[in-house]
Amino acid sequence: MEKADRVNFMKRSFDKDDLIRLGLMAVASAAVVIVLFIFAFIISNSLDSVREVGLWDFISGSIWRPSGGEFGAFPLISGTLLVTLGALMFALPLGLGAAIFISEIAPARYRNILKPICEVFSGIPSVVYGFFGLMVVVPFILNNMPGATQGESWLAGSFMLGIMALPTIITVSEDALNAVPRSYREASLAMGATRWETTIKVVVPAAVSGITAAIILGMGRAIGETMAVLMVTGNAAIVPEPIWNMLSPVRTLTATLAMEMSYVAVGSTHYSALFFLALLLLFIVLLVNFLSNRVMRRTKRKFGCDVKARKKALLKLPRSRIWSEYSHLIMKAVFVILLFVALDSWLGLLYGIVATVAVLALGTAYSRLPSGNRQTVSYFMMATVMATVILLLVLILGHIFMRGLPVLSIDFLTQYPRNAGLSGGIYPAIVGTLKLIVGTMAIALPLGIGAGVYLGEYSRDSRGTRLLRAGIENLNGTPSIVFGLFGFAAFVIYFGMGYSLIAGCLTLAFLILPVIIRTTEEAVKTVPPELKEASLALGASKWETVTKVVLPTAFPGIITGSILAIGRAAGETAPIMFTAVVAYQTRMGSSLMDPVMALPYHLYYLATNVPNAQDQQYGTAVVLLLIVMSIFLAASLLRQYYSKKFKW
Amino acid sequence: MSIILAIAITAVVCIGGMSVLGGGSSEASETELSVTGSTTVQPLMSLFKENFENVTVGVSISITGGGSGQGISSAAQGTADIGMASRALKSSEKTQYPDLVETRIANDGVAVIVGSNAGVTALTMEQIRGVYNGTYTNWNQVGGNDATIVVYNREASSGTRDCFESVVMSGSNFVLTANEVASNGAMKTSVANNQNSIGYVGLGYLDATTNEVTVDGVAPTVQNVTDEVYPIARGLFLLTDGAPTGWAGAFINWILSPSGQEMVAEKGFVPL
Amino acid sequence: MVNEMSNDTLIDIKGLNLWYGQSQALYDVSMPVHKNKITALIGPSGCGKSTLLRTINRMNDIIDSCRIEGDINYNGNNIYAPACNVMSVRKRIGMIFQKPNPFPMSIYDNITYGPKIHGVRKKEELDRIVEDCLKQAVLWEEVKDRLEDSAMGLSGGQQQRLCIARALSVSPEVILMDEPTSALDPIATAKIEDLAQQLKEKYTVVIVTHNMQQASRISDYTGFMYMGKLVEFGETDDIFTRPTQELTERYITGRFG
Repeated sequence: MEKADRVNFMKRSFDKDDLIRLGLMAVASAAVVIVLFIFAFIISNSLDSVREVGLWDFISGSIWRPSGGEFGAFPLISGTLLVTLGALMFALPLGLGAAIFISEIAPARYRNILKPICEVFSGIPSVVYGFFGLMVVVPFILNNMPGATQGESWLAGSFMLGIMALPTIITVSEDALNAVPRSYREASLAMGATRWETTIKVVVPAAVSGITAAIILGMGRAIGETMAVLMVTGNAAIVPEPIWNMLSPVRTLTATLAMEMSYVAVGSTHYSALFFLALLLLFIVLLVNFLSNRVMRRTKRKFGCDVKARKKALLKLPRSRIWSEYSHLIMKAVFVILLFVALDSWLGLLYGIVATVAVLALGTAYSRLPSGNRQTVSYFMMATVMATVILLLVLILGHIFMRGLPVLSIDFLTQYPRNAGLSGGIYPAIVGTLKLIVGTMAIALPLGIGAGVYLGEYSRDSRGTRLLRAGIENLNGTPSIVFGLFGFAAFVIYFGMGYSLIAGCLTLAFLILPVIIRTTEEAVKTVPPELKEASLALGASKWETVTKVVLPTAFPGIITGSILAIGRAAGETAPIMFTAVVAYQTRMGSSLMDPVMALPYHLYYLATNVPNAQDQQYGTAVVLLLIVMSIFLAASLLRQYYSKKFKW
Repeated sequence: MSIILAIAITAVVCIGGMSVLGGGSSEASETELSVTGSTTVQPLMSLFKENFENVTVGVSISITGGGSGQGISSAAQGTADIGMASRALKSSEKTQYPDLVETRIANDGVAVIVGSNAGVTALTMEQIRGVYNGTYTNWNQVGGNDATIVVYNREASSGTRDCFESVVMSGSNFVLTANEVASNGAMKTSVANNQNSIGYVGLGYLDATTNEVTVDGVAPTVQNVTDEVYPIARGLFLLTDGAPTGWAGAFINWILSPSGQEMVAEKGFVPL
Repeated sequence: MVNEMSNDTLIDIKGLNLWYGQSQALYDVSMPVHKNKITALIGPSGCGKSTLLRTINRMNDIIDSCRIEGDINYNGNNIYAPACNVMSVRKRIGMIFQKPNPFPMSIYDNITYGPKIHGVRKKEELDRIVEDCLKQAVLWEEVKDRLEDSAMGLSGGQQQRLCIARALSVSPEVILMDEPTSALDPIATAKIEDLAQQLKEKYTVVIVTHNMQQASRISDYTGFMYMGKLVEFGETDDIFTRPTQELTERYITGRFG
């Protein structure tokens, strides 16, 4: 209103610009609406079971037996946490080592190759990981691990999740290490520290908040992961016995949802109980996000160098004298005990003791080395870690391409499946995936870009805006299976869309919306203010400035971010498995209300339902990989193209 | 403040819009055929529905679950046009609802399969139950090799598990350490990959690669299921109040036709 | 005076050429650094004075494209000899940077960083080093009650003195200062200058500076560099009062093109 008063000599500008502003605001608030929707649907659907079972019994109950009316989620919660923990134990050393190698050790020209290679990991759809786990890792564990009676296990799940968390951990920690000011390194080197000492004692501690973020992000990805764990953990709803027995089968919350949602009777207690599991999952993820924010704030205060932290740093760090003096000893003792327990449980008492002593002896020998030699040994170890990471990637991709590429043929790509998928092609799955991509883009791009432009250009810091951002933040951390559940309850059942293309597109659009909003906002914010001011100074309206100056300038950022999001959507299985896909189609529907086939689900279906269709399985995996990776490749080519063309 | 208002407005618009979108398809005036009952039959019924609606104009079928008991009572009381049941009518039900007509549309048979090193080819019902409730943990306890039994089970909402549980387990619970897989195919793969395993699949999944065992001496074959001598089997029934007529009759006839029975096989049940 | 010069030469730079990739940054530089004196390097931006400074403790090694010819003799040993241990060179020749760069750790940990790297483990020993170095850097009184606080909370001038204390912690013989006051206000600058004067009793100091007044105030010897070449080197008084080169004269009198 006040704006209208100020510019009343120019009547036209009020209606248009303010309408646009309101419109964009509405679009942005859609993000919050979606979060509210999701919570509302999940909470309201879960109430019945909580009422029936009781909240505490539900969470602490140790038996999950829906057919007998027993809903004890404790083994599922512990399964989720254990698998995540195991994944971290595996991904942390590998991820950090690789990040250190890329950022601190590798010569510059290799750095630019290694990082994209690691990013390829994140382009592999989770169902492909699951497929690889099922075909390679599970049999490997069964045949090679001493004491294994079966391959489906916590170990297999953690291994797969660890690989999946690697790209996040590597790229985010590498960014953090890279961002450590050069002056810290110089200061350390100038004191006669070796490069390795500089890395370990200065660079890594200085980057600790970024590395923490990397770990938490990786952990978030692992907790919410569905397909890969579902296919390899055995899904027995038990707490391993003993608790560190990684060869025991376990079941995660996500796997339970994916397995039991498909045929559960709508409206039953079991149905409601599944929604409560989704709520638990959401709660865990939100808790992790919350903790990560706190940890990051604290570590920033301690190590960070931004202005805000500096003021706070003037306050004395609360640290007891005793702790600071004995912390080293305590940490060492804890490490030795953990090491001993881990090795013991794996190798048995006698060999466990021998192995522990051996590890400690090696460690002591290492620390006694002259610093130069220690650097050589450490560099060698980091290089080994890097090589392992690359080897894993080559192994996964190589295995799938070697067996899948020969299957590809014109017929395979253009024919309908026959004989329940045993023979014939995957034409409808390819088309279905493309339809899903296009539909998802049609919904997510306008909403996401509109909301991003609003946040980047129009919003002020108010309570409403903070609510918006919180909504987007939470939407971003939500596991994809929860989107699937929500899509089922909301679109398929409540709005009566049934299993349909439109329900799948809406669900996927909600999934990628936060990514598009964020990249748009960031891209818009990087447009130099001088440009905007130049346009405004020429008498252009805000909206004209946005459309003619800001958006074209921000376009490369927006487009690459959006393409990456689409790539993610294209490979997702969990969100579409209860909303849009059918396993088998002999003719394709033409309307938005018809269900579709899709490559990720088709691969899941073939891998778990049609055991003899190995050729078809590998062929589908290759086509899926090719589509998703070409999307990612397109994004990175575009980024390179634009970064050469424009430079700010 | 204005943002919160905008959020509220957007919410209303979204819900309204999607309701219209979703409701759009059922606007045309069609005869509605309501089907309710067994969740085992439900997925099969969904498949029937889709395909029947594709070949027929003027009918729309709505399906709800609720269990066999509810299917029987709803059909008898006329709250549903067709009831679904995964068991035959009990004699008490027959006297209570004399007009109720049951039509068998498919059979459901479950074969027990074992890994290559189990060393058994025949098990009794009691032995299978013992393996699945945790009484027996080594194959040598049921006449096989000395090896730990690795038990595979289906997920909780599976109809195959439902059939297996109702016939074999007779009230005792599945051992908690059993692995769970989400489909017949996954079961087959898992059992094939682990030489000490035991699992169960729909009859349609047996082939040269599976090691199925006889149950109480009877082999799991389609013939034995049809003859009702194989124990882990049951019929799937539709119930109508009086002989099926009109759309219900047309629908049930189509189900019994070759194209309907093809769907039966596709879902892993035994066609008639 | 002239005779003494050769006797107390601690570092002797001889015929030094340096390239960054294709472009040459130093041309045939030769000069001595005298023990327990302050040697200043002056010259316009980009003349190579910082580059020259960084060759003395081999900090240019961390730049991949950097290539060096010539010798730098330190106590009679060529630090560019293949057998030379870079780490021990840097331990003997400390460095202070243009911008204060304390590590994001506590004040205490900043100073004990170097000694720990070089093998000092005992708590009492470390405590002694911290107190001693902070006193030498005239910072002890200001921070003795908050050694566990983050060093990032200190003011710019305090941070720079902390960096000096940190450099002293590994008992170097030489301290290289790369425009150490350019990021500081006049008061902090004066403190650092006083400190440099005190330090030369125990250490040899080489300082790169933009500020000619600073060079004339605190240094004993001055080298003037231009376009990668050492134009003139001599006692500070001589350079500032009777330069032999016209270029030097034009520069110090501010008549510089």
